[in-house]
Amino acid sequence: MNYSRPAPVASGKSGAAPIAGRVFGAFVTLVLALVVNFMVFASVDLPVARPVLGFWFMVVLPAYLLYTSSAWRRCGLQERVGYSVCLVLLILMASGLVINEVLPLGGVQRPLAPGPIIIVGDLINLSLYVYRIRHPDTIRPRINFAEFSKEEFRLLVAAALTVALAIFGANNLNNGGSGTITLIALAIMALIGVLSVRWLRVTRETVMSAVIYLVSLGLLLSTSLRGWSVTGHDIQQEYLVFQLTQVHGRWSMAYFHDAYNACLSITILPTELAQIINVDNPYVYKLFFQLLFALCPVLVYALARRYFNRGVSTLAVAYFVGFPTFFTDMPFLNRQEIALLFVTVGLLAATNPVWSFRRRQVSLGIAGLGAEVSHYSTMYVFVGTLVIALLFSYVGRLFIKPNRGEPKPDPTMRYARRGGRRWVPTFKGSLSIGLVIAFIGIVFAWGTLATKTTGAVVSTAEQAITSGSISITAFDSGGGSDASVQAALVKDGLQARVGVPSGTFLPWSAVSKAAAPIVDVPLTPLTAIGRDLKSLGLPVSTLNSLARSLVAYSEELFLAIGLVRLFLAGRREGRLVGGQFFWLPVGITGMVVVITVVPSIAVDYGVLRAFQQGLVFFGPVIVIGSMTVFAPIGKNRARIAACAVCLGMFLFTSTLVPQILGNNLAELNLNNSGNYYNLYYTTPQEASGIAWLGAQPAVLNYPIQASFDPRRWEPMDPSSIVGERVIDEYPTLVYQDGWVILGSMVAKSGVSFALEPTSDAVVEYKYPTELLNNYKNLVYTNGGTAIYK
Amino acid sequence: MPQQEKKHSGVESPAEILRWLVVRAEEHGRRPSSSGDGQPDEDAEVSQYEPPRWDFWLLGTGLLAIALAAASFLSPWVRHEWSLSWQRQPTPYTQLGFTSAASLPTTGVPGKGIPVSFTITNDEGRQVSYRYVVASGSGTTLTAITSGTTVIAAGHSFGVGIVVVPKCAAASCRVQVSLPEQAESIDFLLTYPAQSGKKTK
Repeated sequence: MNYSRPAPVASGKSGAAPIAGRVFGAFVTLVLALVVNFMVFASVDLPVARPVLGFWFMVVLPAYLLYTSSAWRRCGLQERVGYSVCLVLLILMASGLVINEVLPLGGVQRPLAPGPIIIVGDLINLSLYVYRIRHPDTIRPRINFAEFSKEEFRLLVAAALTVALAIFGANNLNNGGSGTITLIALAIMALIGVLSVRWLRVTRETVMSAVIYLVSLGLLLSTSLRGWSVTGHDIQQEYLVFQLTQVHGRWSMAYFHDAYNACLSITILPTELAQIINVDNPYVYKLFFQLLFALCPVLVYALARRYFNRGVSTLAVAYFVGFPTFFTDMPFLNRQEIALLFVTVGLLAATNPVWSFRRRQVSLGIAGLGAEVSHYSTMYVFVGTLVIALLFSYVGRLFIKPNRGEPKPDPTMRYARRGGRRWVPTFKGSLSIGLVIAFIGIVFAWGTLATKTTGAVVSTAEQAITSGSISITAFDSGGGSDASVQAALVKDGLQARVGVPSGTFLPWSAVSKAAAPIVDVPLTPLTAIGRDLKSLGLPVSTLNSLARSLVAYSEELFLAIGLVRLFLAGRREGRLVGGQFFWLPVGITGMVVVITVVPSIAVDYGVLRAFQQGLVFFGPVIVIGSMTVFAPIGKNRARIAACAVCLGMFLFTSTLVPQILGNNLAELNLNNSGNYYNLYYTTPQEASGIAWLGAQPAVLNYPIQASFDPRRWEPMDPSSIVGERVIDEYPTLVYQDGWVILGSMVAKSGVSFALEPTSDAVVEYKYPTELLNNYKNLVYTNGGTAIYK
Repeated sequence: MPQQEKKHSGVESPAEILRWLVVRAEEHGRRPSSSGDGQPDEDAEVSQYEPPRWDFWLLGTGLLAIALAAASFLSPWVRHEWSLSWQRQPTPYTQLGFTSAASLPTTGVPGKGIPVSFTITNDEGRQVSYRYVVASGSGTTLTAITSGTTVIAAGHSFGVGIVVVPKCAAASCRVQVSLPEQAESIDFLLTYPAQSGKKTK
C-alpha cells in the first residue's frame, strides 16, 4: 500500500522535462496541425476526426500552450485553465473581428470562410508556441494513474459515467424512448455529491475539479442534446445570427440590427469553430459550447476557495449547478455561457493573491471586455453589481471599523508559503470608481459606438422608471390569468387592424367567432411510487409544488441570513470576509432585487438568470446562511443539516424526486412532454417544413406566422435568411396573405401557444384550424407540420 | 519522493466527515484556491491514500463488457435500447407541397385548364410507390380529375407539373392534391370572376 504521492503540480522554471519527450510532443503537434490544415483546405470531412481535431486545434492546443507557459505562474490549476481558455476565446473573437474588418479591404469578401480562419488559427498557435518557448514553465497536465486514491478514482469514473449516460439519455429520448437513463445519471450525480463530501479529505482539489467539470457537463448535455435540431428559447435567435454570419462568410450589424447580432460569442466565435470542426451546425452550440461552459462551475469552485474552506466551496458549487436555470436554461443561452466564463475568470483574476494590483485590475478589465462582446446583459448586470457593491462598501465603512486598538496577526498570513511571496486573496482596490467608469466605457464603446445596440437597455431603463410598477415575487413568471391574457391577445388583434387596409388580416367576423379555448398544462402521470404515496393520503402534486416553492424561498432566506451573518461577523472582527469582495455578493443580491421588483427589466433579463449569475458570487453565502439557520441544533448537526438540505434541494431541483413520483411539470431532459418540449423542441417534420418554406420563391414577401416561440420557425435557407421575421399566429392576428405554420403540437393535439407581449405571458390554447382551412390555402404538409398561405 | 508510512486517515465518523465545514472569521484566506504555487491543499490529507484495486477494476470492466455483449446478443429489447441510445433513428414521413406556393392561381376561367405543380419528398427511409390524386369541387365533396403513380427512392423528391381543368359548380373552387396512402393532402382555392358573391381566400 502506498501512502504517499507527489504534489499535484510542480512549479518553477523549465528544465525538468526530457528534451526527447518535448521534441516528440512538438512533432506530433505539428503533424496533427498539418492534418487539420489539410482537412480544411481540401474540404475533407472525416466524421469524428475533423470535429475532434478541429476543436483541439482551435481551442485546446492554444489553451494548452498558454497553460504551460509562465503567463499564469504560481496560479492554481483551475485558474490556469480558466485564464487560458478565456484568453483563447477572446483572441479568437478579436482576431475574427480583425480579419472580418480588414480582409474585405483587400478584396476578400468572405473573411470568415474556412481558409482565412485556419490561417488565423495557425498564426495564433504559432505565436503562442513561440511565446511558450520564450516564457516556459514546467507545469504539465499529466494524468498519473498511480497517484489516484481509490476514492478519487471512483469519483472520476462515476462522473465520467454521468456524461455518457446524459448523452445516451438525450439520444434515447430524441428517438422516442424514455428518460430512465437520464434519471439514472441524475441519481449518480446526487451520489457523487454525497461521496464528494464523504471523501473530501482524501480527494485532491485537482480531482475534485475534474469531477465538478464532468458532472456539470453531464447536466448541461442532458438538456442541450435534446432534439436533433436547435432546441430551446434564446438559442433559436443565437443560431439565427450565427447562421447569418456563416452564410455570408462575414459578420455585419447590417445583416440584422439586433443586440443578439452584436454578441461576438454567438456570431464570429461559433462561425470560426464551425468552419474548422465542420459538424452539423446546431452541434456547435449543443456540444462544443457546453464543453466550454462546463468549466464555469470549476471556476466558481476556485473562486469560493479564495475565502472559504473546501466543504463550503463544494456545497456552493452544488447550489450553482443544482439551480434549475443551470441545466434547463443555460444550454439555451450560449452567449451568457461565454460571458459568465469571462465574469468568473475576471473575479478570479481580481482576487489573485500573487499578482500585483495593476495586473489584477488590467486582467479584470480584459475579462470585462470579453464579457461585453460576449453578452451585453451579463455585462450590464455585472456593472450594476459593481455599482451597488461600491455604494454599499461606502455605507459599510460607517459600521465596520478596523480594530486598531489590539493589532492581531493577519490570519491570512498564517499559512502563507514560507520564504516565498505572501499570498493573500484580496479584492482590495479592484472595486473602485475607476473600475466602474472603465466598464461603463467598455459598454459605451462596444454597445453604443461600435454596434449601436444599447438602445434596448436605455428604453428598458426608461420604461422601468416611468412605469412605476413593481413586483415582489421572485422566481414567478407572472402575466395574469389565462382569460385576461387571452382578452389582451384579442385586444392586440383589434389594435393591429387600426389604420390598415381591409383584407390585410382574416375577416374579423370570422376570427372573432373562432373558438380558441385555453388548455391547462398537463402534469406527468403518477408513477407506481406516486400512487402508493397517494393511497397513503399524501397529495403528490401538492408536495411537488410545495417543494418547488420551498426550495426557491429557502435559497432566498439562506442568502439573506448568510449576508447578515458574514456582515455581523465582519463587524465583530473588524474585517469582512475577503474585505471588499464581501460587497460583491451584496451587489449582485441588489441587482437580483432590482430585476425582481422592476418587471420591465425582468422581461428582458429574468430573475432566474440573474440569480444564476449571482450564484457565482453568493453561492458560499447561501451555504453559510443554511448553516446559520441550523446553528441552534448544534455545530456538527448544523453542518450535517446544511449538507442534507443541499442534497434535498438538488434532488428536487434536478426533478429527480418529482420524476420518480409523477404529477409534476415535465422537464425537457427527462420527458418528451412538458412546457419546454412543447414550446422549444423542433421535430424532424417541423425542421423539414421550415426548410421547405425557406426555399420557397419570394417567401419573404409575405409575413410568416407560427406558434410561440416563433424564433424556432425562422427560415435558415441561404436564399431567405434574414433577421427576425416570424410573428405570432394567434387567430386574431393572422394575415390574409401570410404564411402560417402549424407545428407538430397542433397536428398531434390541436394545441398552440401564444405570447401576449405586454404581460409577457404565454398561453396554451386550442388552435381553430378550421379557420385556416376556410380562408387560406394548405400549401405544404408532411403529417407533422402544415403550412398555410 | 520520500515514502511516508502513515496510517490511512480516512474519514471515520459523521462529525469528522463534516469538520471541514467550519467557517470562522480567522480562517479568511487560510489556504490557496487550489494547488496554487505547487503546494497541496493543507487541510486535505492528500499525501495519504490507498490506491485503487486495478485488478478489480479491470475484472469488473471486463465482466460488464461481456454481460452487455451477451445481453445485446440475446435480447432484442437490449439491442433496441442500444440503438435508441447510440444513434439517431429515422423518423419516417412524406412531404407534399406546392412547388411555388406563393404563385398559385387565384382565378380561373371555366372550362380552361390551370397549371398545378407539386413536389413529393420521400423521407420514409425506404423506396415508396406514391399514388397521387388531383381533385376539385365547390363543396365538401371533391371529384377526382386526374391521378398518377410514381416510385421515389428514399431521400429523394419528385416534382409533378400538370394542367388540370377543375370541375366546380360554384365560383369558389377548391383544387386538392392528395396522397391517399399517406393520408396527406394540400389544396388551394380559386374563384371564377364571372360568378361573384362567394367567399374567397
